[in-house]
Amino acid sequence: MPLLEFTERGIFCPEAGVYVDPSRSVSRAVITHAHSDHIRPGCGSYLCQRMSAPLLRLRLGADCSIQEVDYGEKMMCNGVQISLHPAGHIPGSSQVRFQRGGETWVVSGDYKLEDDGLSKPFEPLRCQVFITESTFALPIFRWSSQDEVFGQIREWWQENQSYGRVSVLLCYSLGKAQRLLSRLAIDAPGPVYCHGSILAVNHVLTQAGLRLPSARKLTDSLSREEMSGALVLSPPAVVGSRWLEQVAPYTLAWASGWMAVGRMRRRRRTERGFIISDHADFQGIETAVRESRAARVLVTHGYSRQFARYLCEKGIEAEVVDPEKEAADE
Amino acid sequence: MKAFAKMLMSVRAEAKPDYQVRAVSSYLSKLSEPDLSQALFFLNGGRLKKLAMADSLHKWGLEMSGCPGWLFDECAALSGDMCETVALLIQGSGKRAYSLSECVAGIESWRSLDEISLGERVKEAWRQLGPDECIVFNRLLSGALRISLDKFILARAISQVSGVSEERLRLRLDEGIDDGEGAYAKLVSPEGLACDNLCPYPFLTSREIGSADEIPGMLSDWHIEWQHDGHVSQVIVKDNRLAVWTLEGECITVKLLPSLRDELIGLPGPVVLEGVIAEHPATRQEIFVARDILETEAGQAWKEPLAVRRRRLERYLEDISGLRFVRLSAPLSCSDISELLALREGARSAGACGVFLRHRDSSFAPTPEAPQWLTWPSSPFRLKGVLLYAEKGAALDGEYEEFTFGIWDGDRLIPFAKTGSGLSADELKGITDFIETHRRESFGPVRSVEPKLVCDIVFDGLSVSGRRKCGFTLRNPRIARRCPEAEIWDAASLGDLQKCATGGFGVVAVPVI
Repeated sequence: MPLLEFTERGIFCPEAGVYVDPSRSVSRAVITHAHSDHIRPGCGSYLCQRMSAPLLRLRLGADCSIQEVDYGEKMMCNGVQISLHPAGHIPGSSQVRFQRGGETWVVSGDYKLEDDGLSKPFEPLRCQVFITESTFALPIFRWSSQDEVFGQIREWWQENQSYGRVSVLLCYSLGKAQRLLSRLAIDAPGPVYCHGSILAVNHVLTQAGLRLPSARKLTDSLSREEMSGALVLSPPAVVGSRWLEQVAPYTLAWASGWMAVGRMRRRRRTERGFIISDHADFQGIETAVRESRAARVLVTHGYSRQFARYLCEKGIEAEVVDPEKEAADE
Repeated sequence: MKAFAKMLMSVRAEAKPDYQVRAVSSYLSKLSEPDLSQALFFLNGGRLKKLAMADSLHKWGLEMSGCPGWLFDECAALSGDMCETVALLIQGSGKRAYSLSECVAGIESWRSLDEISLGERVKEAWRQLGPDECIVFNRLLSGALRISLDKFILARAISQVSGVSEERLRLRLDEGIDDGEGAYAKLVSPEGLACDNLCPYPFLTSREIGSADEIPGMLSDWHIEWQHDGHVSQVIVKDNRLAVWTLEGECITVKLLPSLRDELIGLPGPVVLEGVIAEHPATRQEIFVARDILETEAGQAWKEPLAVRRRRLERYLEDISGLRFVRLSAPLSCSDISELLALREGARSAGACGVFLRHRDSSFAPTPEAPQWLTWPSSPFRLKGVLLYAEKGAALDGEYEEFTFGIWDGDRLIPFAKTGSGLSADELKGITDFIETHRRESFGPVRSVEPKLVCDIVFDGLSVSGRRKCGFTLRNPRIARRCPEAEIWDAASLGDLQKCATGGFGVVAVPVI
């Protein structure tokens, strides 16, 4: 029996009886990270890294059963050893390693190789079978260094200040927002405000011991002086809402890996985007695959068909393990 | 090229003209020749002839990227843009900062090369360009770089950088600019160019009045004519050149229909006329209704009293035979306020939108403390309509913002007015509550509503449109009030709407022009 199977409900270890990031409610789930497309409410129990646990409670409610573990902590489960290892995607994000006898499989979860200063950096793990995500696994996705991108964002922010308007940077509330905040609020040219959903995540993460710069809450009683020259971090859902109108005059930009492609920018009705992602780019994924020394690579979540074919042509045994969906969300 | 690429992005990203002006002016302010003239060429709508096809870009890009062909094609399919795909895949270093004019000069010097040598040159350039510049470079190569920037934005940006007036720049840009080095210097030259004397005089604006009591002095002191519906403009003809400026500061010479433009350019010059570019209510042709004359062969006339200018204008137009699209705005005679009231009420059936009064002693110079130009608009058209559809705004928590009202065509209701304006917050809430309890179907953001709610719809005019079910497009429709007392049978009919268009008597009224 193979160590892991790929079922409609998600990646399954039959011997241990656990699913990784199941897409339906199951009795036992291992969660790689707390983004909502990776957690399903209603599971019997959840296992995750310590930093992820309060985020899971934030999303699922306080009464769900969660087992918290540290990175590298080993658990035996019916002869299968399971451990979580840093994936570098967002705080608490993990790769899941399954070992049985001399056999090792690793589920990457979502990951990036660059150290963002908040998440524990990606740890390369040797294994026979590596299951990798492929959100940005096309060679047109090639990230510049984050220092360069933060420089661009800062330049944009200062230009907007000189025009007398507020800079609104759209980003996901968990992960990207904290990464942007931790870099942009240091030596900031102006005040930084956050949307309530971001502050809720910040609160949970700082309670769990993460160090984050403080940010102000955007309320409707703020004066023009208080908003002058400000940077606002906000989830994309606010576009077109009244919430956004209170900071006028403002200008919008997105922070996302999808901003690399003009068509994707236009799909989000923007021209201004900063290419910064919490996923590995094409080269990053290839590096992770090579460092795993895996004899077999299983590709999921994104441009899996293309990346599996690419690996095969490079002499690495690879196959697609889920129906391809053009990943629309990061 | 970096700065050029950044400016292009900003111009696309900014929705408001003011910010587009800033993006262009801050870019230009950092340039020097020959880049200034080169940038001007593109900003003014110029484009290069195509040198390389997408197929060639594809071939060279594939060779240089080292990417398998099928993977290259997957990327191209995602991007949908060969210029971008190549730029993202070839991994140029971005080490050497090419200037815009260097790139263009390079491309122009390659025109005689064969395909193979051209490929070598292009790849050599690609190695040194960063991705953003490379996209722009590829668009230049394939003749696809075209900037659609409003002329007034360009003129304003250059005006900010150079200090030359916007009007002068508009005229000089319209006149056409030279290619190559020196074009920018010539455009902003302090010396007069032939077209410079086509700048307009400062426009006078009129004050809107709501009743006859607001007319100062004796009624006989005022010259009265129709308020024509259209663009208040100045027509300037000098040395066989023509410029037409609107009150809003736009130079619309090239936008006029050729029939009108040809007639205007044939007017004996030099002359500066003021009037309205309008649609003839009967023939629907574009015409110029002359109201004033500001400059003639004899020199400036704008300081003279209106009465003198009117005589000049009449004489000037009388001497020209065969005018078809240039008309004199006819004076209206009225001896007392009651006659003026009657004129105002009859304005719509005469194809006008109100009455226009100017003091007979006034010069063509602004007098803000005592306005000497007055407009008294006619009451708007008013019809009862039944709410048929409501549409939500773009926001997620959006409220209903646009409402479509219907009128009777036989025994069915057809849409005739779509509007969101005119409602107070309370009325909007009332209508929103009604929609929530009476909605039937959803089509995206649009809800169809049971036909029960009747409102008074007012509008300022209407024009024939084959694209509307009712046959007309309304001008500035708004909701005057909700009519709770009205039944849906009280709503207007298609016949009532058609009467609005024909002056109320079943025939197209020919106005006094």
